[in-house]
Amino acid sequence: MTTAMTRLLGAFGLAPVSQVQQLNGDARRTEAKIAQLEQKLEEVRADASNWKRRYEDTIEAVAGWKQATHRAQAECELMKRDGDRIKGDLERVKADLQREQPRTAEERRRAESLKAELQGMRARVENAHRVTDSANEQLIAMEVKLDLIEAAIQVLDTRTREQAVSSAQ
Amino acid sequence: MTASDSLFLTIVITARHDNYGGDFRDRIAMPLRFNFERLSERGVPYELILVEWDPIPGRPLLCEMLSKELPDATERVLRPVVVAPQYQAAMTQNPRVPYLEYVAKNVGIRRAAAPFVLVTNADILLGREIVDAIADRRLQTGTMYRAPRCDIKLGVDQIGLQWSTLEDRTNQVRQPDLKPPLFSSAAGDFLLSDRDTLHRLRGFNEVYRAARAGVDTNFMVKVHSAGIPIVEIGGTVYHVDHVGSLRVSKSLHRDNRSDSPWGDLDWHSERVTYNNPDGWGLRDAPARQRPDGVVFLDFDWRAVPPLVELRRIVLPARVADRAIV
Repeated sequence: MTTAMTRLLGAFGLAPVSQVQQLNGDARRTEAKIAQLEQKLEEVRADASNWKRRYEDTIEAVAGWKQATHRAQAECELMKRDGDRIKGDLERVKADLQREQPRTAEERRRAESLKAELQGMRARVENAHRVTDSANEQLIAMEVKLDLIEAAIQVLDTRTREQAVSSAQ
Repeated sequence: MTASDSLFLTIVITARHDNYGGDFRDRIAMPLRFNFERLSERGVPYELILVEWDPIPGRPLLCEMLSKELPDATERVLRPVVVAPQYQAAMTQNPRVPYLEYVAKNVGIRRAAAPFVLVTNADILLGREIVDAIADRRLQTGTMYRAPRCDIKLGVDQIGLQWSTLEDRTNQVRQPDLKPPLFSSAAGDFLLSDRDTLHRLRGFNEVYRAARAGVDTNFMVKVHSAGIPIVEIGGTVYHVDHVGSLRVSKSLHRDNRSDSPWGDLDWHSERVTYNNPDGWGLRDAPARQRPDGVVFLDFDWRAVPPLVELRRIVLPARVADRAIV
């Protein structure tokens, strides 16, 4: 019945109030949904823009990293070359060392021998100092004794002369 | 108990009546009185041996003059020993040195009766701390005590001289200076030790008699070489400068240092030492005593040491801390 009524009203471009009200409700909901969707769309748009910016930043960073990687690679190459050179130098030094080792041992032996010789010389110098000091002391004692002998001769001479003079008188 | 048993100190000095250094009263009587009063105040039992070496003929003896000038001191402490003048003539090795001061001092050391002996000079005044050390008997045996000498300016008024005057730095012209290891500066002015130590050392050098200067230093070399500790007693002695003293007159002999009345001023007194013969200090000189107590040592060749005895000049033993200049 209701359906028939509805069809009849529809034939005249009319609809029952309840249907109109329902449709109005549907329209409002749809509008709200549209607004919601539009807002979501805006958000998605903002997100997209954000992501785009981040993407661009990332691209930029990747480019930077790439450049840094290139530089690092170049430096690595340089270091590798340096390393090779140093390795070569080390090899040469090692070879030199091996070549010089017998001579170093010889020099060490010579140094030890010189050291022993120096110690011997030092002992001889100290001994010479002692001997010199002792000789010096003996010389001083001799000098004092000579002074005494000279003094005694003078005294005896004076006494002899006095005696000679008095016996002559 | 005899008088010598109670003695604590013998002071040995030598002098004669020759006006050496100026007026006898100022130079000898005043210091003797000063020291007598200071030691007596502190009750120190001591004797003063005055050795009159080579007294000048025709002049009164110094001890006779002192007995008039200082009767109290003379009676209580003075022991004069007069040595016959022939000993100077017989023992001299240098006629330019008219007074064998250290042989004379040996005469006194040899005859000291007290357990401790102070060898000094007639014109030395004992300082306050020295009298304290002696009076308190703070002396060890086997030790040589030294005191620095402070010179008091020439011509200072000596009447009523007191310690306060001597200690006043404005009256002093030379400050004390004793340096280890020998502490030898002006040693002849103050040497204090026990009698046994001095006898073991056999006194001052009697082998080298050609000089008077440096014999005290030479004695310090012997003391050090013998390993006897040399200690500053902790006080000063004072000496009033006089014309003719070694210090004042040294400059007169600047250009002829080997020809002074003290002998060669540069002889090697710090580099050699000596061994005196057994009869050191005129042990064998015949002694006779006058009733007034004056002892005369008469001449006898047997008391005279040989003119030369070279083997008695020896080198000092090396002592680790010794640094001879």
